[in-house]
Order: sequence, then C-alpha cells, then structure tokens
Amino acid sequence: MTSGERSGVPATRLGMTSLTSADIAHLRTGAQFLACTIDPTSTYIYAEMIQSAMVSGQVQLVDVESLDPEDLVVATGMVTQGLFIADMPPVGDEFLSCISAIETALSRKVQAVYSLAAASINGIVPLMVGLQSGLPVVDADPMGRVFPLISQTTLHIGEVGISPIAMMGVTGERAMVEAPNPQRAETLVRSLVTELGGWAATAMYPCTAGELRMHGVRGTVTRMIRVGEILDADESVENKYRRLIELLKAVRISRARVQHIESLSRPTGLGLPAQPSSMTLIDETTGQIIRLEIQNEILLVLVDGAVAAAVPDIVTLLSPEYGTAVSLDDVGVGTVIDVIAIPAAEAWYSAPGLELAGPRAFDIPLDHPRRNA
Amino acid sequence: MRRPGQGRRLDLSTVLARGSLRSTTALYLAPSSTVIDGVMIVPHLDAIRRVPPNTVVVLSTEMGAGGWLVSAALRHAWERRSSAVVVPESRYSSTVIGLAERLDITLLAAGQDPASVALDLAAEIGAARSVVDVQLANLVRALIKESTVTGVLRGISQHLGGILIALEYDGVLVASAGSTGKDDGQVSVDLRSQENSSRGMALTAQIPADEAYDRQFVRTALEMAVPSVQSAWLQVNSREDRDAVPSAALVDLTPFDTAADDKFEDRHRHLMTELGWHRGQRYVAVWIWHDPNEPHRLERTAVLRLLWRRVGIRRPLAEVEEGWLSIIPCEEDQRVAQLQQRVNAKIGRALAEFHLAAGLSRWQAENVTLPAIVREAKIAAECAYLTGPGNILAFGSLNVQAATFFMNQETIQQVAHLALPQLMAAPDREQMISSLASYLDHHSSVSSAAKALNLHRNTLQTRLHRARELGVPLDDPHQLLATHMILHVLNDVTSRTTRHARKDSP
Repeated sequence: MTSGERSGVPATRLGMTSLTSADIAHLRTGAQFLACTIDPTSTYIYAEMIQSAMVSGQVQLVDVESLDPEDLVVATGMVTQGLFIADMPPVGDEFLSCISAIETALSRKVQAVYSLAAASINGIVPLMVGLQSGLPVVDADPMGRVFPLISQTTLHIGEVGISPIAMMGVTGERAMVEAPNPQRAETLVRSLVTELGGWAATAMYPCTAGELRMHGVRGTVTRMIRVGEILDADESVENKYRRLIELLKAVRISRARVQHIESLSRPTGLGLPAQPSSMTLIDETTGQIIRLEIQNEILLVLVDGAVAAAVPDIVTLLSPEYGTAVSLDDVGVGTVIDVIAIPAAEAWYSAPGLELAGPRAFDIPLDHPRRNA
Repeated sequence: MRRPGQGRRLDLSTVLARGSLRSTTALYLAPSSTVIDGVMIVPHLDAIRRVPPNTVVVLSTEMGAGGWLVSAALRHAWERRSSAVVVPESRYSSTVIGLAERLDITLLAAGQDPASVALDLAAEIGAARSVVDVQLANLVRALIKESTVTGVLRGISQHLGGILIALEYDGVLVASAGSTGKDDGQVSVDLRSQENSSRGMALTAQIPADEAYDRQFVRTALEMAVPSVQSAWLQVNSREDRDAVPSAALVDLTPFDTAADDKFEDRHRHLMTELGWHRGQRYVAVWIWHDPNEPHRLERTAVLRLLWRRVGIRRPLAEVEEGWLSIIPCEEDQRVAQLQQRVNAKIGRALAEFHLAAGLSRWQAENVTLPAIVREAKIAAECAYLTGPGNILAFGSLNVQAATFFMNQETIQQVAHLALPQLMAAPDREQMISSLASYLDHHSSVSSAAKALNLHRNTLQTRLHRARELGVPLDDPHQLLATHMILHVLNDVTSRTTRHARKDSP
C-alpha cells in the first residue's frame, strides 16, 4: 500500500502525501509504542502543536524514491542530556535555524527533512519542522527505531558522514560541529548539549536523497502511523495483536506480572545516557521468570535466564487489558503487561550493525542470538 | 560397603555439611543428590559455556555485579548440568532465588571472597582424587600377580565391589568374573587389536544403577587393567601354543594314504612317545573348521582357546591348517555324545557367531590310529560347516553319508538340466523331485514311500508314471545310483530354498 492510499487526503504530487490531523494522532501513538521506556509527554505536546498549526499549513510526507537522488536532505531531532523537553519547551525557531546553518555551511538548499529516529519525540519533530519550513518530510530515518546515541545509525554503517551538525540550545545559543566520525561527534555533541542547557535542537547527517535511500530505513513514518491506527482502533485486543504481529512480524514473549523493579542494576558504561535498571516479571501461566534490562530502552529480555530478545530488537510493552502501549513510567509492581519483541531493520543484524548497536555496545557482555546465525 | 571410587566423587550435600562449602549460605538447595567433579571461577558469562558437567560454578565478584548476569549464569550453569552456582552474598535477590528454584539448581551465597571458596573446594576435590589414585595403584599391583585372563578379570571385579567384568570379542562373551545386578549400566573399554582387526575386543563392567558408583572411576580402572588383560592373554596363548605342539605335529604327520595308517605308529613310535601319545590309549579328536579363505588370526585363536576352556576339557587347542584341533583321551563310548553336547552347549553360539563349525571323531572299541581319528574329526567338521556355521557333527552320525556332503551341487544341477530337461522344466518339478527321491530312498517301495510322503499309493504311482514320461530312468539299474544322487541333491536344494523363502517372508 502506498502512502497516498493510506491517507484520506489526495496526493499533491507523485509519492507525496499530505498528512491529516488523525495521521498525526496515530503517529504519536506509534512513536510511543516503539519507545515505551521514554516519557511520552513531549511527544504528546509536539503532536498537539502540529495538529493546531495544521489549520494554516500542511505536512507533506514524501517517499525517498520520489526525490531527486541529488537533493540535499537533513535529519532533525532533539538531543537531550538530563533535561526533559517538556520542562523547558523550545521557542520554535530552533530547527529552522539549524537547517539554515547547514545550508550556509554546505552552500546548498535543503530539499527535505527526515527524522533522526523513528520513535518517541524524534519521530514527530520533523513534522513540525516540515510544517514550519514548508519542506516535505521524508518517509525514512537512519535508525528504524530509536537508539540513545546519534552515532547508532544505519547511515553510519553505510559510511555516510554525520557532519556538519548544527545545534541550538535551550537559551538560543548555537554551535556547529565538524567531527571526523560519528563517535567523536557523539562525544562533542553530548558535551555541548550539557553546556547548552540540557537539550539541543539539531540538524545532522546532511546527505543526498540517494544516500538516504540506499542506507536509511524506509517507510518508518508510515509504519508509526499504521501502528497508531491499529492501537487507537476501537476493536478487540486480540484483533489489535493479530494486526500488529502481521504488520511488524512481532512476537509476544510473555504476558507477565511485574514482581520486582530495581534501578542501578549494573554498572553503566561511559557515554551512555540514563541509568540502568531492571524489572522482573512472573508469567503466571507458565511460571517463567522474565527479566528486562533497561537503559533508555529495553536492552535485554531473559526468560528463565535465557536470552529471548536483545538490542537491536525492539522490545516494547502493551496493556493486555486495553491493547494500548504502556509507558514504563506507568508500570509498577503487580502490573500485568505483555512483552513484545519486534525485529529491527535488517542492517542492524549485520556484523557492523551488531557491533554498533548489539548488546555489547550497551555493556551487556552477550552476543545477540543472530550474531552467528 | 564403601563403593570403589567413592573417594573421588564428592557429594554436594556432604561438602555443604562438612566440607569446604559449609561456610556458604544455601539460597536454594536442589532436592536431587548432586556430585561434584570440579570447580570453576567464572569471570564472564561466556566462560560458563566451557564448564563440564558436575562442576560447581563460582561467580566472580564482577560477574555477580549485575542481577541479570546471575540469572543468565544460572541458566547457563543449568544447561551445562552444573552441580551448584556460588554467588557473592550481597548480590542476590529473591528473583534470582526464584529462578534457581525454577531451574532446580543449587544456589549458594558466599560470605567470603568467592575465589577463596573455589580454592578450598578445589583442594577438597584434589584430596578426594588422591584417594582414587591409591585405589587404582592397589588395583594395578594386584593385577600384576595374575597370570590368567580369568584371574585378571576376577581381580578387577574384586576391586570394583564384585561387579561383573567381562571380556567380549565381537560381542561374544569370552570370559567373565563377578556378578551382575538388575538395572546395571555398562562401561566399556576397547582393547586395540594387535592385528588391526575390524573385530572389536572390549573389556566391560556392569555398573549398578547406584549414583555412588563413579562411572569415570570404573572406566579408569578398566583402562588401567587393559595391559594386564593383554599380558595374561598373551601368556596363556603362548603356553597353549607350547602345549598344543603334539596335536599340531600329529596333523603334519597324518598321511594322506589311509592304507599307511597301520604302519604309522610303527614308523613314528619313538616320536609319538616323545610327543606324549600313548599306544593303547583311546582318543577322540575335535576339529573346529573355519572358512579356508579366511586366514588364521592370532587373536581368534586366543579367543577360541579361552572359549575352549568353558567346555571343561583340559586339553590344548592346536592351531592347524583349516582350523583348530584338540585330541582328548576317551575310554567310553558315551563320552563322545556327552562331549558333543557339551561343545554345543558351551560354545555352539560362539562358533555360529564366528562362522565356525566343529566335528568329532568316532569312539571305537578297537585300537584306531591317531591319524584316522584326526581325519574323521576333520571330515565331520567340514560336513558341519557345509550344513551351516555353528553346527557340530560327530563322524559316527555320518559314516559313509559324509561322502554326499562333498558332492558339487552346482555341477550336479547342471547335469540334471542337461540330462533330465523335461523334469527340470515341469511346472510341478518340486513335487515330483521330492516324491521320486522318497521312492528311491525307500528302495523303490511304493507303499513305504507313499506312507513317508503321506500320500495314497495311487497318487504316488501316478507321479512315477509321469516321471517315466518325463524321461527319469527309474527302471535302468545302471543309471539308478546317479539318478538317486541327482534327485537327492535337487531335493536338498529345493528344501533349502523353501526354508529361506519362509524365513524371509514377513
């Protein structure tokens, strides 16, 4: 199915679709579902802002295939370090300023923007940027999910450069980073974000549409909307599960009751934001003991001590009662949840992919089960 | 009774109660009894993949740092059938204990440094193993004194608590000592053949289904006993070679010409006395026949000599061309029949397994020369072999009929096809052949043959008429013997084919 068929609004040009307010609402739900460990407040705020602004403008979603392969495209997203975006929201000109800085640095006009990640707040930010700038939003991203580090991208695997990176912080201060590789850029950007006040709007990975097409993960904005459509639908939980499993090739690892939550469960590696924690659940049907290791996201799922899923698999939680995404913040001892595993983009299971975003990249001394498969 | 090798195997419950693990706290104790063969300090998860079964896995302080690591370590240890997992005391949580319980693997918390717990346990395991070394040294010392295979087997059995120790050749029990229980398991050690034979010789022990019996200890004991078994084996064989010289020499002296038998003893009187044969003494010869295309092998001769002992005759078995020979003094007629039965009962199955057959000479009241009884036994053995491996025949039961065993059946069938083409082409050929053979067996008596065949006389008469029409020369005295011979062979072939067809049918 094409994006044109998906939305009720007619396509404005081949491969380009105007998103509706309902699409934005579904995208918000999908973005939360694919990153259940991150507080969804900012995502919700952004979604409301976009829906309000759509009265006077349109968000155009474009297939990467329909762009000229030489068109300049750039990823936009928030990089945070300790400060919740909802606590000090952006003024509004941050991303436009970043795009302008990139255009100045490269002496080229940006033709479209794309998401830095296909989940959580960075899954929705480019829509606002598109609305503000009039640029179309590419239906692709460089993660196919969300990772905590800006170096953990399929563009990095494809050796597409991350620089220049334009940044604008909480108080309007700006910075431009030129780094030799994404890892070094990560270090510099993290330090700058701290200095800039806790978060920064960024534009990075400027590349051609051809490069994004070759090395990015395509169709991920549409996927978030599709997931949202399923989860927001007024139908039985079983039906929602069936449709989700069909869409995402997902697996329900277990339906279990939370027994124990523990923070600081293991030493954390330098450079990885957020503290590690873990959650233990009991599957009351089988008696299995489920253990989730969390740091920004659910990195590892053990069932009776055996690995059932591990990063880069996307692990998320659903409410068995309502069939809706469950935010980790809402989970307490006694809550019954479904633990769902979704395969990530295929590039992540290649040797360089697993090296960049496999368990060992998160200080989990395990090989992913697909490492030698 | 203290089980052999018990010193080697530490029992987890004993080590927890009185040994090096008594300082640990049992977070979960698996109800099933567990033995300990080793201990390993695990610095990282991957190391558990190399842990052998029955090992106590001690997690280093770093390994215990992450709760999930302990869970994963428990799982890995369970998959490797570890005896127990020891974790630093301050690190465990109720969910880890829950997982240990679920996997039913013992989980212990060490108050002190896990490395020192591992070292203490390693020392205890080492001490237990030294007890085993002493046990094995005692076993070897005892076996050195034994000079017979049975003596060596008895020695092993006694050191292993009286369990059954057996020496097998190609799956056939050759010698054994000790007794066996009901639900015994087996530990087996191969004895490499000196001639690189494809046939396997193995020393096996039947171990009671009792966890206190250490299979590894039994295996080690068997492996250490192998040189003693081989040494005794060679000793016995070389002794028998020496003792069998008179019998072997007798075969070489046996003339082809039976007419020379009368002069044999006069000609070789001095030599015969030197060899220990007594004039006037009556003997029975036993010949074991083997496939002439299969050459003699030292190990098979040795195996047969061990088996021959089961017959209970203290006479050597000589390796001779076309088999093995034993000459046995025999003063009574009945002894031959008894000997035949005994050979059949004691080694008949083994002879069949090895594709061998045996023949015995006759007992004769008058003084018969040794070459004559050797020839009788040899012919009986060959006849037995021709009727099927494992058979045992006495020449006395054959007499002149022995000659029929040596007829070339293939040639006779070709003659039948050429000389009696109508009979051979007849659709009721099989029925006709059996009827005609029986008729001639009964001296051409229609009544006797019909009775033997369970037929009416008229039916047989009809078949005889038909046979004449088919060209069978039943009425020509000059051709009758040859006809009888051909029918006999054809009847044999038909019966054998029918028997095989029945055997092969589902």
